[in-house]
Formats: sequence, C-alpha cells, structure tokens
Amino acid sequence: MSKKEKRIYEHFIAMTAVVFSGIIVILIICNFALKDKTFSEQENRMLQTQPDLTADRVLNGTFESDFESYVNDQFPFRNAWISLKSTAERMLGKTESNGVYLGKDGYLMEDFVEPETDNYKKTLSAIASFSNNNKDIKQYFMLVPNAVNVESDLLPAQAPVGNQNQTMEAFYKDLATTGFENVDVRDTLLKSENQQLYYRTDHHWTTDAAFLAFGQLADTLGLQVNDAAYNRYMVSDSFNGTLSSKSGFRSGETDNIYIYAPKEGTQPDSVITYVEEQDKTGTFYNRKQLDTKDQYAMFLDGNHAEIKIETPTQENNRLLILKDSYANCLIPFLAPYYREIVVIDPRYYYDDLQELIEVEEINQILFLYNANTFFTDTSLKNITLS
Amino acid sequence: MIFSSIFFIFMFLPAVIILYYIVPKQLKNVVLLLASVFFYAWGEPVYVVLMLFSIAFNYTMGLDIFYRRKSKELAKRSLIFAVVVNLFILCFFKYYGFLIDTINGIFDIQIAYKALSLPIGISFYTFQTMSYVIDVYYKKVPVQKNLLKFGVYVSMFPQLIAGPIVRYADIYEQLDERSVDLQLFGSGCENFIKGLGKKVLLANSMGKLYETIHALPPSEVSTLLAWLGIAAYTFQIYFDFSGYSDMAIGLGKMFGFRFPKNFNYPYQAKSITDFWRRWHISLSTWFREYVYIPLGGNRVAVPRHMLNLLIVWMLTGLWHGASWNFVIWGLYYGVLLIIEKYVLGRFLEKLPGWIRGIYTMVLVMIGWVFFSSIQMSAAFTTLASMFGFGSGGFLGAHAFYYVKSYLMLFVICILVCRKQTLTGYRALASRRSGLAVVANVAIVMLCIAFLVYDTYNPFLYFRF
Repeated sequence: MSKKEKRIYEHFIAMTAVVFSGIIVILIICNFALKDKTFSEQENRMLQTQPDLTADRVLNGTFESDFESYVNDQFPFRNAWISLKSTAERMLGKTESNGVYLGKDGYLMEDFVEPETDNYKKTLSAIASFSNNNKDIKQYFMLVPNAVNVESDLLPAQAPVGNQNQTMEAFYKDLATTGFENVDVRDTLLKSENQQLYYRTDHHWTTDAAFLAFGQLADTLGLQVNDAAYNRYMVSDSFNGTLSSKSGFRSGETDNIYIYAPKEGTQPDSVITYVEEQDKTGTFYNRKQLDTKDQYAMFLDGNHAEIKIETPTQENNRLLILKDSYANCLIPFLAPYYREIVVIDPRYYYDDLQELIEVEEINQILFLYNANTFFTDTSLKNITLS
Repeated sequence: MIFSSIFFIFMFLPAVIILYYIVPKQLKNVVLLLASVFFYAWGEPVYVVLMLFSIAFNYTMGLDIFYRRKSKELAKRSLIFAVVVNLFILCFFKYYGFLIDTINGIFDIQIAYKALSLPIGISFYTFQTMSYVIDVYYKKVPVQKNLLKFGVYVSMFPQLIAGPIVRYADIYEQLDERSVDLQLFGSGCENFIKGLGKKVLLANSMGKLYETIHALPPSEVSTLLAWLGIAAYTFQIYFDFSGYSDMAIGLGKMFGFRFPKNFNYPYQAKSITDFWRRWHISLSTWFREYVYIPLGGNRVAVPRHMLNLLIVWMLTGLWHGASWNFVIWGLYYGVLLIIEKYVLGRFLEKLPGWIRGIYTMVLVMIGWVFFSSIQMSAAFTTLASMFGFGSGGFLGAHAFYYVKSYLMLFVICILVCRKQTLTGYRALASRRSGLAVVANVAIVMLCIAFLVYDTYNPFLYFRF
C-alpha cells in the first residue's frame, strides 16, 4: 500500500466511523421526536407499547423481551424499512415472504397450510353433531377455494405450496357423512378464470367471484335469480390489501373494489342490524371503511359477531349463516330472498347457537368459509357448546 | 442481549460508548464492567450471579496460586482445585442432563432430573478463566491483583457470550493501558458493519432456507435439495459465527481492545488440517495449549499421538454441545486429521488446489450434517438423500423454485467466503474511499431493514 493509498484508506475508516455513528444518532433523534403508535395499519396488528417495569417481569425476562419488541415496533420509518427489505429480497430473486407468494400478473397469494389433525377432527365432529342436532333444517356448506388453488398457474414455477385441493376433497368426503349439502364452487370459479376472481394484494375474493358463486348457490337453494338486475360499479381504486402488508411485496400497488347494486325497484330494501352494537342501517356497505387501510371491511362493516338482515319478502324463509369474511361480499346477493338472515361469525360469537336457531325460527343453514381460514379455524369446534 | 438487534445497536451500544468516552480514565473499566453485567443480565438476570461467582472464584484462585508459588506442591493443589471447580460448574450446567440420559440409557434405568437452562456464554467464559489460572500457575502471565480489571477481562460484553475465547495472556496489558483514536474506532465500526451484514443478511437468510428444507419429509428431499440444504447450513453457521466474531472484534476496538482473529477464510482451506487452522482459531488454540500439548502433543510415539488427537477432538466436539452428535462430529475430525497426517497428506499435496478445495468442502459439509442433526438417524437420512439413496429422487418437484429463489444469495455467500473479495474491497477503499463508504452505508441500511421486520434471528453459537 503506497503512502497515498494509506491516506485514502484512513480517510475511508474515518468516514465509516462518522457515517455509522451519524446514522445511529439521526435515527435515535427521530425516535425521540416521533410519537409512539399503538396500531400499524400497514401490518394490520397492534404494536408493542412501552412495557411496565416490575421486578417480577425483569427477573423472568418478559420485560426485556417486551422492551425489545417495543423498540422494534416503534422504530422510526418502520414501513419504509419493511419495503426496503422486501425490495432487496425481490431483487435477489425471492418470490415468497411471510407465507405469501409473489405470483405472475402481480398476484399475491397466501400459501395453504395443512390443517392440524387434532383440531381438524374436533371441528369436523362439532359440525357433524351440529348437523345432527338440526336434522329438520336444510343445511348447506360452501367451502370457497383460495387463489393459491384456483389461480395456481400464476404461482412462481415449482413453488412448494400446500395442496389445498387434496385437503378439500378429503373434507368433502367427511362432509358427505353429515346432513350438509355440499356446494362445491371450484369448477364455477375455474371456468371463469378470465375474470379477476381474487384481489391482487388481498386474500379475499372479488365481488365478481362472489357473484359467480352466488349463482351456483342460488341454483342449489332453488332461488329465482335475475342476473340482469344489477349495476356493477367501482367504489374504490386505492385498495392495498393484507397480503401486501403481510409480505411487504407490492406495497405501492392497488386493487379496485366493485359492488353490485340492484337496479332501482327490482329488489326490496333490507334493514341490517349489528346486534351487539345495537346499530341499524339500510345499506350493506359502510363507505367510511374506504378511508381505512382495510377497505374490504366496507362489506357489512367488517367482521361482527352477529348481524341480522331483515327484508320484507313474500316467503317466510329464515337463513342462518356461519361464516368468515369471504361471506361479507356475497350476503348482499342473498338478502332479497329471505325474510331474515342471521349472520354469525363463530370467532366472535359466544352465545348459545341452538337457542338462537329456535328463537329465530331458522329453516335453512349455510356455512360459508374460505378454505385457508376454515382449515386453520379454532372456533367452529365449539359451535355445539352452549 | 444480542448484537444483531435494534435494541443493542440503537440503545445499549450508543449509551455505553458515550458513557465510556466521557468518564475519566480511571473509571473506564468500571463503566465497562457495569455495562457488561447489564448486558449479561438483560433477559436472563439470574445467571449473572453465576458469572460474578466465577469472577470472584478465579480471581481468588489466581492470587492463591501466586502466593503459593514457592511451593510447587501447594500451588499445584490450588491449580487442580481451581480447574476442577471450573469444570464442575461447566459440567453441572451444561452436561448434567446429558450425563444422566446417558447413564439411564446404558443401565436402562430412570433417574429423574430437572433440566436446567444453559447459562449463556458459560463455555466461553469458563475457558477464559481457566486459561488465566493455568497461565498464572505456569508463570506465563503475572497475577491480577485488581479485582475490577479481572472482572472486566471475564465479563467484557463484546466477547462474553460467543467468543472469541480471549486468553488472558493476549489481553492483560490492555486492561491497564489502552487508548482509542478515530482510526481504531472507525476500524471497529468497519469490522462491526461487516460482521452485522454477515449475520443479518447472509446467515439469517441461509438459515431460513436450511430450516425450510430441513422441515420437509424425507420423501420430498431430492438429492439436489439435500445438498442445497446442507450448503445453506454450511453458510449459515460460518456467517453466523464469524459475523459474531467480527462484531466482537469491532466492538473491542471501539473500547481500545485488540482481540485475536477467530476465522481466516476457512472455506478456502486446502485440507482438513488447514481448515482447522482457519476455523474458530481461538478455540483450537485453547485446546492445543491446554489439552493437546500437556498430553504430549506430537512428540510421542505414533499410537499415543493418535490417541491424543482423538481425545482433543472428542472434547472439542463435546464443547459444542451436550449431545452425542457433537462427540461424533469431533471424532470425525479427529479421524480425518489422523488420516491426513499419516496417509493422505503426501498425496494431497500433489493435487491441484481446486481439487483439494473441493475435497475439503465436501468433508466439511458432511461434518455439518452430523453437527446439525441431534438424532443420528436424521443425519443418516440426510446423507442418504445427498448421495442418491434417499426416497426423494434426484431433482424433485420444487428444486427449481429454491434454486431460483436463492441463487443470487449463494453467489454472494461464495464471494464473501473468499479472501480475494475483502482484498478487492480494501483496494477500492484505498483508492475511492467514497464508494467504499457507500457500500458500508448500504449494508447498514439493509441490516436495519432486516432487523426491524424480521423475527428470525437465532444465534447458533449461543447453545455452546
């Protein structure tokens, strides 16, 4: 190393010291200047806030680990760091992040995770006894496949995803031993692959897909449906969904949300009651939710434990729906055909279901789940408990 | 506390550095000791008592040996007592469960025991304190009469929990007298950044690939995937551990200490013998100084020499963990070293360098198979897949996906394993310093991005 090179190298070392210390100091200052947040919209989860300092919690180490999460969660410009990470990983060729695959055409798809055997068995036996307890009532089950299944040709080549179809087939076999009638919409969706069936950045299906599935469901339920009775129009072009948040991929991309509004005078109006909140409204869509991160929550105002939908119809059919959020954009299609629909999300509903069925004089039951949620669900196994 | 965390980099380290630099000279060791105790106690406050006991005990035994130096007999007794107590503590916390399991297995009985969690870094600091009392006995180092300085030596947080194993002889002068200037501090930052990058960007990513493949049922592990998996582990363990050593060396410099080098491009070794001169140098040096040479080293008859090698390597294996796979891994190297020494060495020398490189790496990777599988049967399943006797075929259904996802990262890993890459970088830094600084900034930014979001951040060497 010549004298000059040595001098330049020393300059490099000095610069490294200054720059390294500078980055740390600036970020510390920003950290003090910025207020703590309690919720991350981007990641859709609560952030760790300053933990309580007690001797007990220090000695067993919970204070320390909470404090480290606190520092991580409240780190300045957290969202920018997250997109830097996923951009770097993408540039290196990674197409999976946090269980989400970056597929072709910009589709993000959540991996399918095989159900845990014990939990699955318990869920299945709860469904069977629920069916048995309600023999006189017609029972339908719609298990909606996810993008990872229907759009599998858009996955990265040879991606090692779980086999959802195989698990669904096995479930259908088990379901056949109960009183449920199976509404298998896989072919219906597969046949319509030219439409956008799933959001690119979110794990939900689109209203278009829900409408297709509704068509098949209506046939099974024997409803007389008028396809032309709707106006399809866009309510949002700025939806960046949970899969984008979860993976960090495509955080700048957006999806459009459409709704199908019945044409003037073709359908009776419904009254929607959010039972726990004691809230009544005349619309299925809460547009206020379009101002939040999770715009899909505009359908039936997100997830509620119990929703009652009353419609002045000729016939006196009363439907109970046990569901996850996939149902939220399909339920508006069903409403005009039922005097009453009681919508229950077992994840949040803790009352006696059997009593509800009797009180509300339910005469049809529909389970509507997407496969990814259904096979990891831990609340359905308790539906027969009072 | 671990170095590669937002908490360490943005809270603990800046606080300690500021405190250390503003206090007067005579208080610097106090700051370092208190910081180290806090560092150790963070997350696991109970075992700090054990470390403090170890400091007090070895400090006392050092003095005791020193005051009995006139009588060889008495001094020796003190030394033996000190070594026995150190080993007893180490064995009690690290090997107790393993020992009872083994006894239960041999005699087919059921002795119950309560599994203790391993005190972090105990294998490292016990070896350090032992180096001190042994060297005091052999009068290789002066006795340390200042408890504070001895406490700083044992507990110093940069090297407390994962090495390098700094022998007292290498560092005692620096306990009295050391200084930092911008060049040393900056060079410390440079080491720290490179170490952090190795750990956060390379080791963690490779670790994820290894764990993904490791979790697959054997029927889905093709030959290609098996090699990909063990290659990922090979990189993970190297970048994990050498990254940690780089960070330790860098942090040491920030406080004016110069620690010995712990890795010297081991994956460029041209033989197994060469590999062990380059891998975890501070540990091999320790075993050479305190076990191998006292046993007679190589100045004994051939059978005895072989035995010495096997003893040293069995112990080296056992040091890495209380489990049989580590013993097997150690003995595997003992046998390979004997073969190289007495049979293969002459042939190897005649072969071209790249063949010797491949020969070494294949054997090292097979070694990591044993190292990474606690169950022997799992090791053999992996080996079967690697050599085409597995049930997963040659390519498998997903190999292309993994290769595509990780190819770039593998290329980067291979480059970073080579000394030429660093030489090139240094050459750049001594011509275009700005560019080289930009590279450092990029590494730091990426590390922050990965640390802020990532929850996967294990340190393999914490188990040891």
